[in-house]
Amino acid sequence: MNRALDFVRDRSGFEMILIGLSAVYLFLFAGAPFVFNVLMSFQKVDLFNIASIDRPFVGFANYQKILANPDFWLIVRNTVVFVALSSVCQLAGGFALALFFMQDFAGASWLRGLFLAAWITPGYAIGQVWKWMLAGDTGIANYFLRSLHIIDGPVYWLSDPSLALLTITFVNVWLGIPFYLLLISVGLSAIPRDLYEAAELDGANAVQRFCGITLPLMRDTLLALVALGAILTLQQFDLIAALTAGGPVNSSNVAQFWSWQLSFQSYQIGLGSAVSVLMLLVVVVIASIYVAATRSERAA
Amino acid sequence: MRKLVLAAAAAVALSGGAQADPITLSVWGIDNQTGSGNPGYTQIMVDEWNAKHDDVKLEYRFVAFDDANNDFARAIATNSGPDIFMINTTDTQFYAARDVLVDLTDRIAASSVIKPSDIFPGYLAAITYNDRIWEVPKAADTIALYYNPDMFKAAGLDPDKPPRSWQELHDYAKALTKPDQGVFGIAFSAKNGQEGPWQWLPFVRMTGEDWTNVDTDGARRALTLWKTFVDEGLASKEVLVQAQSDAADMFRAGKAAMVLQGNWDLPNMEGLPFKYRLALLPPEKEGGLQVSAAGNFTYGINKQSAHPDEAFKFIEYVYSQQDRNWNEFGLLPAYAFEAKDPKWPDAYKVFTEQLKFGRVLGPSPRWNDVSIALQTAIQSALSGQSDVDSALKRAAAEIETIKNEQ
Repeated sequence: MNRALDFVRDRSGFEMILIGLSAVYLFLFAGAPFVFNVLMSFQKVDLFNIASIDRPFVGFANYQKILANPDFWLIVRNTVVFVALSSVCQLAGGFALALFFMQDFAGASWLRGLFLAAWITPGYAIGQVWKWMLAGDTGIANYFLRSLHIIDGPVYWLSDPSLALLTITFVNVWLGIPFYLLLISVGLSAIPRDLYEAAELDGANAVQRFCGITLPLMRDTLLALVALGAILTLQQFDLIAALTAGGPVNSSNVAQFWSWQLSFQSYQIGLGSAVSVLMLLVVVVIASIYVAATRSERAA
Repeated sequence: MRKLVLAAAAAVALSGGAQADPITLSVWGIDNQTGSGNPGYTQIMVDEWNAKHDDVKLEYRFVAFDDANNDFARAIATNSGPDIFMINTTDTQFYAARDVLVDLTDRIAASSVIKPSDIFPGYLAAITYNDRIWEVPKAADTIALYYNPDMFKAAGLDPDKPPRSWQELHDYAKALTKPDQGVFGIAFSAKNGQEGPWQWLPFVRMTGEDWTNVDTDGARRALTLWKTFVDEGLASKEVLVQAQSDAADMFRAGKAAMVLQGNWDLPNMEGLPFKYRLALLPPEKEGGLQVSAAGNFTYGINKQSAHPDEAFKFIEYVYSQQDRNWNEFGLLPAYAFEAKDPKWPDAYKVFTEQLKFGRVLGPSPRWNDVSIALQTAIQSALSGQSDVDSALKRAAAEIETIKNEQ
């Protein structure tokens, strides 16, 4: 008994318990579902055999079906555009706003806090509100653009196949900017003020200070943010469900929504799982770029 | 919980107790008290039943429309499902083919309440699979043409003479469209969901063709008609993302002069600044084949239920109440009936007539997949991503694959 107590009191035993708890948690809530998902992607799964693990194996047939689907490359292209464009615009917008709010003016900090209101609103609700505003015939967006004589006739933001994806990306950018703004602000405030003062004394102008001090010191933060933001965008589901449901005809469909459609609309859960496994590979690539980049930073 | 109650009931029975505990059955459905169009029908029936019966008690659980199939199937897979569940007429064969329901054929044959010969043929086809009957219709829905008589008059059209053919439907829509006022001649739903095929398939069927093969001239004419509405600006391009309720909202707001919409929306058509009128969907040629949609829900009994007989009694009870459907719920029964002193008498006349030509979606155990193929065809043609012919050829090929797989 004493020995067991000693083992816990002893630092290494305590640490092992802590690690063990985390490991059990990770296994139960991340590892096991992951293995289950990969397993399903090699099986024929429908709604009625979902509860048992003993399902017919089909090898790579699910993956072959996904790759052979006539919409596969369209959805890949849409996903790349959605994630890349969202990340770039969110980063640029968030950075610009963060720099703006670093300026010393009245109400700067609480105004910055207000931006978070958008980010904590449920995505589906936001999608519905934007759907009303962007409605082609009755939406307020077209009303304003028309009043300002920017457009002549209504623009069909959501039902024009050439615009739907861009519209969803725009709303996603709007939704993601506060997240970038907040985390970049944290990074910016960690940069010692005296560096800027010293640079100013040496005659460096604002652009030089930005390129010479801010950017290099923010590198880690920005890389982490872009990786995180890209992953969050890859998870973005509510907005798409609320705005276009991937339509018209997949013109705004992206991988995560397609995976859901396959699993829960046409009940081909094996195919849906295969799409999510393919997406996971992409996430692993994004994450490893991030890890490699931050490692080289530390080594340098 | 059910098992506990059952065990308790058995214990009481064994000990010779005089008063047996009631059996509890669970009922899952998509009716709730809050949403528009869902007047809490099944909930009301359950409450009525519970007020009248002490030996069998029912518990009702609301399941969201979009999640219904997922919830039911998961519950069945884990043996935790309800005794009775509400099944969409589009999914009746899906469940029957999976062998998860109690075969009701013999019970219905012995029933003094439910007579299959009374049920409209479309509904009977939906609940029949391999010559056996698996569900019982709860109510019936169909769609007709709502129109705004004031706009008819303003456009020089006679409100007493609604369109009688597709050509007239097109001409009327054209006359009623007022681009400068943002008014469209006609509104409908071509959404990528069940609503698209639900509204479009009647047009295909009016040509004598059907979903089983859409690579036909009839299907091409039906899709071309819809495409013309959009291309000529007689209907909004938003039909691609509009639900039926959105299209009806445009009609109510005076932004569309005609709309394809169902009987369930009647309660929302009251108190408008104009007095709506209703007409049957026009056939392709005047006097030609008439078809409309037919839908709503059915009840099925879970094969895992311990009390199928009691469950069937509840289904019989609801069935016997269908003559209340119209006046209390704005729904029709799935058999020919005459309402006494009907509410909305004009609408009643049109919808009971329209339902005679109602045909359900499918029926097919894989209707969901067929529906997606049709949605894609409608959407790609209407959005101009593909021409009518190739959109339908692709859908026909997909449907052929689905038919061969099942």
